[in-house]
Amino acid sequence: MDITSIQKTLEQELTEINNLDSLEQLKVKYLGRKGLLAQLTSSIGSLPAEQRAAFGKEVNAFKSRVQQLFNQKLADLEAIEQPKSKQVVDISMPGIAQDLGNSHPITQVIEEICSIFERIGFEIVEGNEIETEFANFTGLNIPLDHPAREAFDTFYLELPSVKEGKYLLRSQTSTVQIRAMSIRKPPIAVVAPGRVYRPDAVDASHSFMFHQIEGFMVDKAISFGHLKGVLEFFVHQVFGKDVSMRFRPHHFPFTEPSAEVDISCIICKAKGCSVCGRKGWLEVLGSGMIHPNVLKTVGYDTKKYTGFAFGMGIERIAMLKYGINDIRLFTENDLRFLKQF
Amino acid sequence: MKISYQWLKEFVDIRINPSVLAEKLTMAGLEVKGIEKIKDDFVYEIEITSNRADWLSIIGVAREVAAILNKKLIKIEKYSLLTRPKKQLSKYSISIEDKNDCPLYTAQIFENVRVGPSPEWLRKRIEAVGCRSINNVVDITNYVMFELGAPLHAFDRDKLKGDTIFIRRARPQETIISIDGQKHILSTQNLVIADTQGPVALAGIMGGRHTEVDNNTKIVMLEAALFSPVLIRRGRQSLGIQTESSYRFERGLDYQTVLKAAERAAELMIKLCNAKRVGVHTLHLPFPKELKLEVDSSYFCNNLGISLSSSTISQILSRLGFKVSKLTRERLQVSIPSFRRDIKAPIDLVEEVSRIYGYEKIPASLPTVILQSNKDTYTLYHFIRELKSLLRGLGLNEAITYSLVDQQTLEGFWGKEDVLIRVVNPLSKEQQILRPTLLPSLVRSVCYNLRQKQKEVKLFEIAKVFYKDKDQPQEKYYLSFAIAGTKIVWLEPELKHIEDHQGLLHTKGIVDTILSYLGITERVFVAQLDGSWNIEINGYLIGRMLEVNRNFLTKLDVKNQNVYCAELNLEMLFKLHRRHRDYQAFSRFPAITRDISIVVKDSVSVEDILEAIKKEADEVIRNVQVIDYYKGEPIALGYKNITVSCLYSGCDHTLSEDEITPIDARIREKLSKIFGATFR
Repeated sequence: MDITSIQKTLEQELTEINNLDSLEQLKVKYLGRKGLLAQLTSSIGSLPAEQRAAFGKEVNAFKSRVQQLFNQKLADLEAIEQPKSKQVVDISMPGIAQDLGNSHPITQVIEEICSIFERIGFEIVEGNEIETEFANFTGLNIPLDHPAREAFDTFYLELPSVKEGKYLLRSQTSTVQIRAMSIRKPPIAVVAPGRVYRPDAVDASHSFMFHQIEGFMVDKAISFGHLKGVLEFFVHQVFGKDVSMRFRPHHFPFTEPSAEVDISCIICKAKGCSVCGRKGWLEVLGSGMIHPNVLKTVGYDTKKYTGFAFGMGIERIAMLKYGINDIRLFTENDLRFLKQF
Repeated sequence: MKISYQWLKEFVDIRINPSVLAEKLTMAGLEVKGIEKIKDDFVYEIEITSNRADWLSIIGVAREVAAILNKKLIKIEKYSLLTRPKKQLSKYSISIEDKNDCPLYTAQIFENVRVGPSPEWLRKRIEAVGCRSINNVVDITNYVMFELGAPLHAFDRDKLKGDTIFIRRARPQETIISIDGQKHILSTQNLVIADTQGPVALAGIMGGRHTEVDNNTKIVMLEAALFSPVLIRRGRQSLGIQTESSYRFERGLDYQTVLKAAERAAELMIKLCNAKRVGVHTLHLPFPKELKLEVDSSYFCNNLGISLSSSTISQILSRLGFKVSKLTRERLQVSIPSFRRDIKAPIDLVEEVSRIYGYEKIPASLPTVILQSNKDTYTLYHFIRELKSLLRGLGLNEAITYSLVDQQTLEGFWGKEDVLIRVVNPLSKEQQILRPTLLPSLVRSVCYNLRQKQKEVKLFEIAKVFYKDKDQPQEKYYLSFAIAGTKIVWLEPELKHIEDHQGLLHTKGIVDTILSYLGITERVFVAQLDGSWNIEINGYLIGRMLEVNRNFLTKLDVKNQNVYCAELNLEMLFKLHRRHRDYQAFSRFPAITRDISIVVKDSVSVEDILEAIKKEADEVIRNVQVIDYYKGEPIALGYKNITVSCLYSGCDHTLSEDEITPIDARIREKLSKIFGATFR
C-alpha cells in the first residue's frame, strides 16, 4: 500500500460521495484513529532507520493533502446541501399567521367621518341613547303637537316621566346639540356619532335602529357660508374632489335657513341611474343654521352667537360608498359580508 | 303632491320649459321628484315640506314660481279671490261645540242646483292631478281644493235632518258610513259634522255616504272650514285613512284661504250648476291679527355671510307676497300674509330671502379655527376605537346587533327582570326590551354563521346595555365577544396541521389579552353557581364569561358545537386602564432554563403555581411558562402532571449553576408544601 495508490483511491471515493454523512464515514476510514493514515504513520516504525525521516515527511505532507481534500469536499457538499434543506418547506403553501378580524362597515364610515372633522378641530361627543322629550323634541324647537312626536315615529319607554318629559329612545343624534351646548360655552365645534331608533318595519331600506352623525359649530359670526365651506371640505374628503354638490332649501324645525345637501351621483357619475332615481343627485346630508330658539334653550346669547348644524345617516353613506343595496345586511352579521370590508 | 304645469300657467306667465322650471322649483325648496307628461300637460310630483300648507295648491306654487321668475301673479281679479262671502241668512244655522276644534265654519246654501257632468276644461285639470271626476258639484269642491288649497265639502241639504248643523266630537261608539262605503266606529277623539240624528261627515277627512250629492240633489250645503290640525291628524290616524282633505287640514290652513275658497266655489256653483245662493252662514273665533316683524338688513348678512342691500331684501320679500316698508335705511318692517303661518320670527325671513336669492350664490368659506386647550383629546370614543383595533388584531370580526330584544332571547343570559327597561310602543315582540346584555344577540349571530357552515366564527360588538336603577335609566358601554368552531393550525417545518377548537381557555385568553393591553393585571375569574365565571378586579365585578347553554343552541339549530362568550364593562375599564408604564431595567446577562415537572391534585390552580414560583425567586426569575400538561396513566386519577419552564438570569452578574440549584430546591419545597406537589 503506497501513498500514490491511496490518494488515487481516495480521490475516486470522494467523487462518489454526495452527502455529509458518507463523507464523515469516509473521513473516519482515512483520518480516524485506526484509519489508513494512522496505519501509514504506525508503519514508519517498521522501516529501516535511514528511510524513516523521508517517509515520515512524505506521510505528513500526504496527511495535510488528505485534510485539504476533505475540507474541499465538505465545502462543496455544504454549498449544494444547504439549498436542498430549505426546499423542505413548500413556499407555495399559504403563509401562517393570525387571521385579522374586520371592522364593521358602519364603524369604518363613522371613524372616517369623525377623523375628518377631528382634523379640522371638531370635538367628538357621544350622547345618551335614552333621552327625554325635551332633548329630542322641545329643546330642538319641535312643538308638542308635531307629528314626529307621535308614538309611531318614536319609541317611548316604560319609565316614570321627569321634568324634561317622557323618556324615549332618541330618534336623532340632534339631541347631542342640546346636551353638549348646555355644558359648553362658544366657541364650540362638535361631531356626535351614534345609534338612533324609530319604529319602522324592517325592509331593504328601513330599520328600527340605525346610525347618524350630527355636527354643529357655534361662535360669533358663524354663517351659512361657513356651513357651505365646512360641508364642501367634508364631502370632498369622503367622496372625492371631483364630486359636485348642491344646497337645496328644505325644512327642519331646528335649523333656519335649512338645506339638504345633494352630491352628484357617484354610481352613474350624474348621468342618472336607479340609485339616484335618474336625477343624477344623491341626498346625503340635512343641514342649516341652528334655529335661534335652540340657542336660547341652551342659554346662548342669540345677539352674539350664531351657528350651523348638520346631520347624516351612516347606513345611507355606507350603502353608497360600498354599493350595498340592502340595509338588513348591516345587522345580519354574516361573515361573508363582514369579511369584505 | 301633483302640480300641473298648464294650470300654473293660468297664474304666471311661464316662458321656460317644464324641466327648467322643475330645476328652479327644486332649488327654491319645492323638490320636484318627477315629471310626467299627460296629454298636452306636464305634471310635477313635488315633495312639499311640512311647514308649507300654502304650497299644497296651484296658487301657492304659482306664487313661488312668480317670485323665482320675478313675474306678477295674474288672473287673481278674474276669480275675485280677495272677496269674502257676504252674510246672507236663511232658516239654517250652525252650532260649534268647541271653537278650538273648529275655529271657522261657513255653510253656503245653494238652491236650484243642476247636478250633471263637469265641463271638459275642469275635468282635464282635476284629472291631471290624479282626481276622478264625479259630478259638477263634487268636482267644483275638488277643483277649488287643488287650486287654492282649502278642502270643501258639499252636502245634499235635503238629506240632512233638522235645520242645524253641528260641529262636535263624536260620542263613544257612534258610527258613520263614509262615502267610500266603509263603516267607522268613532270615539271622542274624532271630530264630526252632525245633524240631529248623528254624524254626517268625518270633519276634514271624508264625507258621509248618506248625505252625498247625487243626480237628484236640488239643494246643496257647501262647507268651508278650519279644523284643528292635530285633531284631524289623530282622527285620521285612528281611522286608518288619509285623504287629500286631511292632508291639507293637518298642515294647517289659514282663515283667508278658507274664505277665498268658499267664494271661489260659490262662483263656480252659480256658473256651472246654474245654482242660486240663498244663504251664507259663518261662525268663527276672532281672526288673528296680522303679524308684523322688524328686521335689520345686517341680520341677513350675519346669518348668510353675504351682504344684501335692503332693497334686494325687500324686493324678494314683496315677490313672495310680504308687505315691506322701510323704517330706516337699515331697518325693515315686514307684514306677514295670513297664508304664511310658518313665518314667526326674523330668522324665517332670512330663509325666504336666501332661498329665492339662491343658496348657490352664497359663497362657501371656512370659519376661523380657535384653538382650545380645554378639550379632552382621549375620550371614551378614542378608547373604544383603540380597543376595536386590538380586537380585530385578535381575529375577531365586528358585529352590530339590535339594542332591542324580546324576552325569550334573554333567557339564560339575564335573570333580573325588575331592572329591564321596556318599550311602550314596540312594533313587534322583537322590540320589547332594551337589552341589559349584549351576549344573547351576539351568540345568535355566531349561531347564524355556524348554520351557514362557517368553520370558525369569532365576533365582537361594542355597544350600550340598558337597565334601570330606582326608575332612573342607565346606559353603559360594554364590550362583548363570542367564539365558536375550529381553526386549522399549520405547524412548520413538517407542514402538519392540528385542529384548534375554540373553547373556554381561548375566551379567557382574549379577556386576558385585552386586560393586559390596558395595563390591568390583577383580575380574577370567580366561578358562579350557574357555571359561568365572573371577572373581578379588586373585588369589583367588571364582566363575565360563559359557555352557552346547550338548550339555547339547540333552539338556534346548532348541534355538536359549543359557543363561548364574554362581556366586559367598558366604562369601568376606561376608568381602570393604565396607559402609563414605568421602564424596568432588564438583565442583559445570559439566561439559564430549568424545568420543573410536578404532580398535583386536579383542583390545584395552575395560575397559583406559576404565581408561587415567581414570588419565590422574584429577583432572578424572568419568566415561568407551562410547557406540558398531562393527565392519565401513569398519573393517578384525580391528579395532573404540569411541567413548567423557568428562565433565570442575574441582575448584575451571570448566574452560575451553583446559585440556581438552591433556588430551584426552594421552589420545589414550596410547591410541595403549598400544593402538595410531588416531582417527576
